[in-house]
Amino acid sequence: MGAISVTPDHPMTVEAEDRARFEALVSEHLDSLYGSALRLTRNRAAAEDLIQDTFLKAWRSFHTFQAGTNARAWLYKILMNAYIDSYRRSSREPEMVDHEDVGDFYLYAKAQESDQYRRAGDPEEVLLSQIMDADVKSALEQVPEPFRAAVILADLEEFSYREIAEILGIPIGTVMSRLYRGRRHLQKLLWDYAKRAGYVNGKGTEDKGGAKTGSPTKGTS
Amino acid sequence: MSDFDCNQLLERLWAYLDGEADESLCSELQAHIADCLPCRQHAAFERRLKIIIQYKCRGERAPEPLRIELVRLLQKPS
Repeated sequence: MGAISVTPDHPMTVEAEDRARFEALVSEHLDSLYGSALRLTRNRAAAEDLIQDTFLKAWRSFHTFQAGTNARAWLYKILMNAYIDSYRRSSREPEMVDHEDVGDFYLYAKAQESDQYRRAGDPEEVLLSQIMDADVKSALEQVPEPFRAAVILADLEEFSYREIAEILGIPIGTVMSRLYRGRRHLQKLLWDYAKRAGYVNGKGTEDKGGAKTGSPTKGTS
Repeated sequence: MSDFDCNQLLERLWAYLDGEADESLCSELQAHIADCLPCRQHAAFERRLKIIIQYKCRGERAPEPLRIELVRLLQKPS
């Protein structure tokens, strides 16, 4: 605290001024950074640690930050670096492997192809309203890395491809392919949710080969 | 009119919806979408889905103790 000397002519030292500017940044961006940290780490304690780590690092390098440049992207770059570091360090966190083939999965096409959804009259409407009720956060958290980070930065935080490339230190082409794959994963997970929820009384949306007999509203006669 | 087929549109749909397509690509995609009902519906679906995902996944607020702790950490001499 020794740096703050209050004198009539110079109420604030340079450091105190910096600190005030930095605290303004913290309060402006904390909620959105915390939200992203939560979706990345999938747990509140880890998200809080990550945020503390991020802001301490940001404060230490604040003197290199140019006023008037993109503060949000700068903070996200620090957040993502801290996240990737801690992710690599913790051996307890099993490395997620992208086994699932989500190749050309389109939620829209799935709804169109499904007898159950077609019978409902307006497949897209039914599916979208189910997704409104679904636990989308938890679906997003199941998207494997590094695809999840790309989806969070693009879809939740609305960074441009160029900004994401800068934040993650990867080429724009890689941003696009991660985003493509992440969104495919997310759509697949949302489809699994929707199937489990069913659109009529939680029944009748099993998509197993021979199980399509009978309408979901009809009982066995 | 449009040189794209539906598969080519799909490959570029997200870049278009993300506002990342350049002007000439935009107008080609818009021309295709104007002529092709299935692609128009698919594009509308993706757009709405993105909004729902945002709506459902955003809006977290940092816990107050974290905010207080951050201010405390910043007060420490570095």
